Amino acid sequence: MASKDRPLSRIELLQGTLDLIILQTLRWGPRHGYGITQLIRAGSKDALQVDTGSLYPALHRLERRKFIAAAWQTSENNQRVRIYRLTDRGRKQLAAERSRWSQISEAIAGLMKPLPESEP
Amino acid sequence: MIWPWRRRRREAELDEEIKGHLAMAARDHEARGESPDEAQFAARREFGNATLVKEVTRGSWGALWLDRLGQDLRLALRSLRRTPTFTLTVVLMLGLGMGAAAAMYGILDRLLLRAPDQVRDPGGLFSPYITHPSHFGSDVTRGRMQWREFRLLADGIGPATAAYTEPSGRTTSYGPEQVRAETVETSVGYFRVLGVQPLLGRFFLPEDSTPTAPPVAVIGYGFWQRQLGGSPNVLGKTLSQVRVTYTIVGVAPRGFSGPAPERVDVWLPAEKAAATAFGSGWRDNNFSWQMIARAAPGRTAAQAVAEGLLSLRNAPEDHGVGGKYTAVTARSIVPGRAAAGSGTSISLSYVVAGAAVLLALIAIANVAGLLLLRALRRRRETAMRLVLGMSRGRLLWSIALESAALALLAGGVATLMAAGGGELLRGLLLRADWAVPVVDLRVALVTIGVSLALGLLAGLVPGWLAGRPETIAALKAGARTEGLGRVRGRGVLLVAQGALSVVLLAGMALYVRSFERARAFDFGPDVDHVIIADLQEWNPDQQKPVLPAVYEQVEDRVAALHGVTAVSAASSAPLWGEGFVALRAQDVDSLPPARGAFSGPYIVEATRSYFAATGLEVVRGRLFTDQGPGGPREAVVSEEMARVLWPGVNPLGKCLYLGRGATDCTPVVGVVRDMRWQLRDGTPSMTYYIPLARAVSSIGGASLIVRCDAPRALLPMIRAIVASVAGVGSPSAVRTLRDVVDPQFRTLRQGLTLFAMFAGLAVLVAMLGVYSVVAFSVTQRGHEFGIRVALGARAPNLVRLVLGQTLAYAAAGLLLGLVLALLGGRYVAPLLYQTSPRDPLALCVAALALVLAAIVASIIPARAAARADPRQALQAE
Repeated sequence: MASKDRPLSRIELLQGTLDLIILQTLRWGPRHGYGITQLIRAGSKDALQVDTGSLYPALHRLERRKFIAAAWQTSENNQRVRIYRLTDRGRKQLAAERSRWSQISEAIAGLMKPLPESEP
Repeated sequence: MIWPWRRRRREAELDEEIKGHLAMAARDHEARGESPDEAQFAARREFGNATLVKEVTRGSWGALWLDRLGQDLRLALRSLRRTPTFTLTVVLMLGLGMGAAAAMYGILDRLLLRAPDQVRDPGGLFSPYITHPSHFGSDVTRGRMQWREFRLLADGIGPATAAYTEPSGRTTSYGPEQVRAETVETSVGYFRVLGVQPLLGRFFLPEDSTPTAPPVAVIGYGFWQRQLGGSPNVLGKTLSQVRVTYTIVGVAPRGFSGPAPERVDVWLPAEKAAATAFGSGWRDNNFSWQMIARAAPGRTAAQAVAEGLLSLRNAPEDHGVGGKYTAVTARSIVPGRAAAGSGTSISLSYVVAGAAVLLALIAIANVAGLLLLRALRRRRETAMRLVLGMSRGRLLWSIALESAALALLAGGVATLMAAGGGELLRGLLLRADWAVPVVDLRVALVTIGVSLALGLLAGLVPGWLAGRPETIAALKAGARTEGLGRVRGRGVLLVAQGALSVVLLAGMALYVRSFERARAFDFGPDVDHVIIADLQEWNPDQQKPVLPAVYEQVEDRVAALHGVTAVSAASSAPLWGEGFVALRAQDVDSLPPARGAFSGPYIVEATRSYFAATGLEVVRGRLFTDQGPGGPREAVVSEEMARVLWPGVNPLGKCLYLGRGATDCTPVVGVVRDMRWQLRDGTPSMTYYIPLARAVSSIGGASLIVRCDAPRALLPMIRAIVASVAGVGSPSAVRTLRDVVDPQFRTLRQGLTLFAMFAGLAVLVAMLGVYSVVAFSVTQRGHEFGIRVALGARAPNLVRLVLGQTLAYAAAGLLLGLVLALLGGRYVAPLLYQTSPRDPLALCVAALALVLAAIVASIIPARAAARADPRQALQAE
């Protein structure tokens, strides 16, 4: 959902890429929802900002498909937080998604190349 | 799926998760120097609409699942609607097969597994079985006993005991009517032990068994409805059997037939009725009594029968049962729990249930075949879906849904068919008046459940086969042609169907053979050309001899009818009435014991034309001369009588002494052919004939025997004559001899009908299966056929190719089926009539029928193959 007050630099995520990004993020270790948003933001140098309205449904969906697993932990501030970690299935899925992603991006990159001069 | 109670917990967890998120975000803001309020606010703003976030997140929990289910279901139904012929075929086929099986399940369930209708506390009821060494050494255990044994057991077990006989069809008259009524003799405690309440009147009382008490009878609900029109003032009316008149004192409730499922029309107290059935020695001379008992309060059945054994052992003599009694055991009265022998209707039900299961299996094999074809036909679509990223699980899921929808439809159809067919089958199988339908809720639920399971199996296995990597690879390779063998499943299913059909066809053929042989059974009298008539109301209360003038008048008028070739008057009609007088024979000390149920010796007092009328020819000597009351004493005996009384000796000239204490010799002047009363038993009866003019008995029920070419056509005219001249108006007084013996063909006819029904359905279903598979194969191979034509093949070659393939499957099915038929034969053997279950002709006919059916089913696709167009094939290349 694009709205006027958002900075132009923010990139709308392609459908399905959020899952990939979440899985990729969790590769570095278990994280809670807030941690994931922060990591994505930092990792993309603020270019990608994940909408919580997309993040939580995505997390829960991934959990349901058993790509990630969740557990409750108590943080240092005595706050109960829900921690997500990557499962073996998720790791496999990530590998598959990554190769798909590279195919797509290659394909798109190919399309975006300037056209060669047309030959008669 | 998220269940409601789990959902609430997850909601709370989601709240907490979001709260945690906000808290952490706020802390980060604070760490950058914002005030707590500002930090809180910033965190919230960044987070956005928390309610919306929760809403969307909740959406990902379970609604999708439901959504998807609905979507898939719609898809499944749409795809079924798109192919109505397929859907209809599958639903009808599965419905038919399952319906037949369910109907038989309903019947067997009632017959074998449930307590009899109307009986109170059936669990407390048991049947004592007696064990003792037999004459041959090994132990025998039997539930049938002598009355004497019953009395002894009852002394030990206690007052809640009763004995009863199996129902047997007896000629019963009430008013002017005469019917065969299924009659059971019981001890007077019978109804009390079973705990059943009369619908009308009362049941037997202890005083009904005393010698001075008037004979009484209880009638069954069905008999009351059918024969007595359900009249409420039936109590006090009388009915007669074998010259005893019983007063009807009660009507049993609907559905009650005692401990056995077969219909009972009349119950009579043993003390009054058994003597007429078994003779004066009835207490010892037969093992016809079965027993039911309840243990006295505070005792177990085992304790009760132990007391019974003691009582038996303490009896002074063993009455020739072979040895000392060794045990008495209590068995359930529910046949399935008793492991006891069972009646013909139960064994026939087993066989028919087997046939129904075979039909169901054929239908299932066929449905699986059809679903497999469908899966194959859709392979392109399936492969496309897989390529587009549909998971294999999801694909199987959609197939499962579609199969489930089909199976549920079929289950519904099956339940309907079972409800209708169950009553039909029950009518064909049992002489039973059941108060409740064959298919009740329980049977219906089982039917639908089993249909669902089978439908899923029949859908998923082919779906899995068709989705295997190699088939997908074949698709990718662009393969167009494919032999029937490519997917093994189809071939196996075809062979299985063929084999099962052969078994049913063989069963039918065996029954046809049995029936043929039974039809050829020689009863003695020519049953197809004789009409018998009672010239006297069969009412023993007012028995008066038929006047000779009436005889003559009826005889003259009947003889004048066109097509009548002989008329005779006799004391009793062949195969219908039995006459006894005290008999002594020359050179014979005592008559040997009876060998069969109808072994005589019977007396028939008849005019000389009796033999012409019945067709019982003279085999030795001559007929009596029949010269009126002043004529000589002369007798004619049956071959069996001559054989038994004077074995190996010339019977002619031997003396018979008729009547108690008679000393006048009635010489035997001739021997005539035997009369056999019963098809199953087949033993000839000892019968002797003397001139009616010199009658010695006081047998009532004088009969007229008419020989004619077309008995059925003459029946109404003879009825009219008998009614107007002799005043006997009841239609049952005049009948063809065929109708008299016809009930004996009943079980054979039932078996024949049922097998014909099941075999017919099975062949039809199997033919449909063959047709669909061959037709599919022909379309698949259109390309190949085209090329063959282009290379010079002609139509007959292609037809041969297709038929050859079908025949290969038929042959395989045939071999397997014959093996199965041979193995299963022993189950039908006891129900057949003088036919081996391995009868070669029957098996050959079954085999031929299958091959023929296979050819017929593949002719249309074969012709389609013959029209293969080479141009199309080449253009496609």
